[in-house]
Amino acid sequence: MILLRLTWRSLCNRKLTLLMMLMSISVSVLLLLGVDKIRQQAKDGFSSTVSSTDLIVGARSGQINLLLYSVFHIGNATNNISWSSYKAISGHKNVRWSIPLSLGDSHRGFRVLGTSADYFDYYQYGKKKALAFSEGNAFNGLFDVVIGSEVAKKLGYKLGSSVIVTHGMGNASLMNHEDKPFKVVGVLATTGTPVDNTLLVSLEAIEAIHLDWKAGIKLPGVSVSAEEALNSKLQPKQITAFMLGLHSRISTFQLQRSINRYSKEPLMAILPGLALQELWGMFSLFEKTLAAITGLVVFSGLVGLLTLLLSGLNERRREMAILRSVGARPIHILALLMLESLFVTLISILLGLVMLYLSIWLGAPILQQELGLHIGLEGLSLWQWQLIGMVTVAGFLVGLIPGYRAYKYSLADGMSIRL
Amino acid sequence: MKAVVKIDRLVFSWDGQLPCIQIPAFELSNAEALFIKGPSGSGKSTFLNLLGGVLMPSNGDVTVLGHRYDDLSSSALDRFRADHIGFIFQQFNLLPYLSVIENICLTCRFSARRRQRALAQFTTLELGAVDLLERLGLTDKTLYKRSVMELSVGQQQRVSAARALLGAPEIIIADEPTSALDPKSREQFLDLLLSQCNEMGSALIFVSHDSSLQHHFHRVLELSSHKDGGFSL
Repeated sequence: MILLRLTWRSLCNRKLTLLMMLMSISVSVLLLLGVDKIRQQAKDGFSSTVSSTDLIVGARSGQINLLLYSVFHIGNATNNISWSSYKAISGHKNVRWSIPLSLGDSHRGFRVLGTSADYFDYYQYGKKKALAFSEGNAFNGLFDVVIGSEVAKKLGYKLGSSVIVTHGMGNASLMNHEDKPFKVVGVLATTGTPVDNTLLVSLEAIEAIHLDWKAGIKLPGVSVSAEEALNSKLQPKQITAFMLGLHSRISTFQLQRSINRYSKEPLMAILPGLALQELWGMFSLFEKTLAAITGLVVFSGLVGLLTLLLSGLNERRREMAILRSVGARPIHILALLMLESLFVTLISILLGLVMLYLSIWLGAPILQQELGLHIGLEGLSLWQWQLIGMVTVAGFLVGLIPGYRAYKYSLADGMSIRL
Repeated sequence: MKAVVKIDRLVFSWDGQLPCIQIPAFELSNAEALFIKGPSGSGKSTFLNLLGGVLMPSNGDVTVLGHRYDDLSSSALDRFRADHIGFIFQQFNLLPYLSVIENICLTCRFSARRRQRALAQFTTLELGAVDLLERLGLTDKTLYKRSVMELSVGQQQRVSAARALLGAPEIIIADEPTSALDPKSREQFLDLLLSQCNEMGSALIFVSHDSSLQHHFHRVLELSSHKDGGFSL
């Protein structure tokens, strides 16, 4: 008990050193836990880019490829699938809902997605969160467009803004569907998913803007005006992919198998959760690098602590000698220094946690708003507790080095108070 | 009278070559007040370190209260020293971050034996500390809870003396405790220290280069140059 008291009083007597020691460890604890929290949330967020969708179906390719173009709108489909196949599969008795996806056009670098109004009812992300409108509502008319929050912010669009869709992913002005402008009727709330960077139109609209096109080229001499398009029969012939929600999850694998064996067309059905996991696995190097960097930050914090402990040691030789003269044994001196470093580490961890939660509390709304990254005030994960445990042990062990030196000093100096 | 310290044919050298201190025979009786004088550099501190068991003689042996230092392990020696010897040094004896009372009680926190003796005498350590301070002439109670840094050197030395005396160790070793004091407070401090040692029944070994103090003591020894080199008692 006397040792705890002495350690504490001695530390309080060296406020500046104590403050510096606390800074060096608490900041690294803040970083360690903060980065891990962000990593964990990014992973959770990524894994729930699409939720409650049981199957994604597209032309036969790779599961990552299909996931990338259907959910993340990255890259292109190897092939389209026919409307009849979509109709046949979505009519299956186990299918509760289906969302068709038609990709291929863009607007100033943002993807334009042709889909049905079911998209707004059934597409879910995160912990089964549905899409919400921050302004306006779903598309209704043929040339209505709903835009993601990022599109609205980057391009400064509001309800009523006019949008001209570009054919393909380029910015080449010749390829614009300028004869058929769209009008913004809805802006979606931020989701932190690729939906934020997407413009949503109806499948019929995709058909309409391509009435006078064939195989990616505008037919010369043929021109179908917007008015004419409105009166045309706009039956989609092809789509890029579609999402399925099933009545019972148990039937998922069964349906997946039958889609994969679909005889009329080479199709592939994937489980989005599984594919997302596989995709995240590709970021493991990035994750490891991040962990290594924060590990180094903690290490440098501990080195800072060690430096401060060691540099203070010489000034404290008198203190040690006094303690020896009142009956403290060298082992007590060792214990004193190890306790000191343990104290500092524990207080720093507490301080780091306070800073962490304070910054989450202050920063979470901004992160949610700007990056769609949701970081809650929930408790620490087991792994984060383990990290704290490791820092504590490391801090205690760091005390061994100055402790051992002080032990040596006190054996050599004895009672004599030098300096 | 029983001898509390006995030294027999002691030789100590730092490097194993030239003897630094030679003490053919030395005895300290129970409750005796001994003055050891010697010029600076004569090995006074070395002698005290040998008495305290911090340094081990190259030859011969030191026996304190019937225990031969040679026979004790270093941790046993640490315990023995904490239990039976009180120390007072030149100055800066006190831990700046503890109060006056806490500083005095410190020895009894590290030695169970001295704690028991202090408790038997005073019922609590704090009462013992206050009692000793009063006997040493520090009666101003506002000082007790204050930081030791606010005390004058003379006051600090009295606090050190109280600390060395609490728990009534058999031996008090004082290494030039008055060198930082002015002549008046020097005499006063010495009087109080001697009378308290007497009352507690502690033997006192007082080392100083200042021979004007020697008339206070029962016995005076001098560390003088030895013909083989080094100093001798």
